[in-house]
Amino acid sequence: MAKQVQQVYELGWRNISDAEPLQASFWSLLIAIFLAYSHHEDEADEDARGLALKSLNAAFSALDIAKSLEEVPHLPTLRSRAQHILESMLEKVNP
Amino acid sequence: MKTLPLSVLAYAGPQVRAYLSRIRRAGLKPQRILLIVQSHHPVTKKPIGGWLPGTIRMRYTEKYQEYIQNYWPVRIKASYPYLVDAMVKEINQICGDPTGLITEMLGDFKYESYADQIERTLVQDLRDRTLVNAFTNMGPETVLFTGGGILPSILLDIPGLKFLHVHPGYLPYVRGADGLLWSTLVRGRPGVSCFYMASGLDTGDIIAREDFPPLSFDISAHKRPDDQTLYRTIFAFYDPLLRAEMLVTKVLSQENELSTLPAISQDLSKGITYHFMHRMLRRKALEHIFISR
Repeated sequence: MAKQVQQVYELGWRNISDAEPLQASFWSLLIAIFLAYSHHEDEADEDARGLALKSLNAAFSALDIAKSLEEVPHLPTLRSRAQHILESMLEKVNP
Repeated sequence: MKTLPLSVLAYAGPQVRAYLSRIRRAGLKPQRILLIVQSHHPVTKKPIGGWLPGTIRMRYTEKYQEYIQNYWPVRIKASYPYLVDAMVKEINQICGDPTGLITEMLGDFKYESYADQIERTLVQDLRDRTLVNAFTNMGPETVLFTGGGILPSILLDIPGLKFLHVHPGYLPYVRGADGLLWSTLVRGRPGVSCFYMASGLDTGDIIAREDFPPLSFDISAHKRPDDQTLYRTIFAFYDPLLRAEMLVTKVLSQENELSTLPAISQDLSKGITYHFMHRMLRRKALEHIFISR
């Protein structure tokens, strides 16, 4: 059900307007940007933490899509980086 | 038993059962239940029982719907009773007799036991003209939404109708999908909010909201089920029970008239609207909720 919803809705829960996937070469950049937004400084700021986790969530989803495409560079490195960020983010709150 | 000036837009599943069971335990009942019977399968979109004549099709489709929407709660209770026991032990601090509620939810559930007036409507989805007409003819009304998709503007815009929704997240901070999981990871505790539905996602005016204490369920003594089972367990029991408890104690049992509940508008510059949680993050959230030492 979740997968079906993801394929039908885009940002703001509008019906998806462009179902064409991004070209393979842009996926690494997109994932790197999501990972860059996954950092936050102030642990007490729940919105900042939420936004960082939301970006990380998007990075993982993008990694899944990119995996199904051919010739997306640096995918193993990006995945490993995403996993590292996830571990360290959750470690800070629940050591 | 006190009858509330409330209609319940019932969509088969654990959520509506939790609401109705908890409302009844508070000595209350809605004046009407409008049961949505979906003529098409929610995922495959294939017609259900299309070969059957009218009344028989309605009965068959309702039975089928109840079966598929309550399949996982029944299955989990039978196959993983320790999951439900661990959950009940902790939820007991928040709502009284969760065991009794769960037994009622999974038992021979008859909508007729929960309201005097039951209407069944066979519809394709929430945009179906039959449903729109049913609401248009209803007049001014407060309606409890219990799921079944995104409520379309064609229903939200009907004059005099106010839809209540209980969202598993403390608004405005946690909006969108998988609210309980995001609340766990971001805020470290579950939160629930009741609001009047508006066209935006979880953006309506807030009637009541509550942060619950952090909850975790110890299943160390047993083999840990896979994440999908744990995820289903949350939506079969944990989420519905919290929402029902909050609805009854903070909204329906209050002295305010349901048609004029005080509500505050949300500061939309605050909070995050979340999407479904990816399995990697979901695993972390589940590790916080279900403890295996």
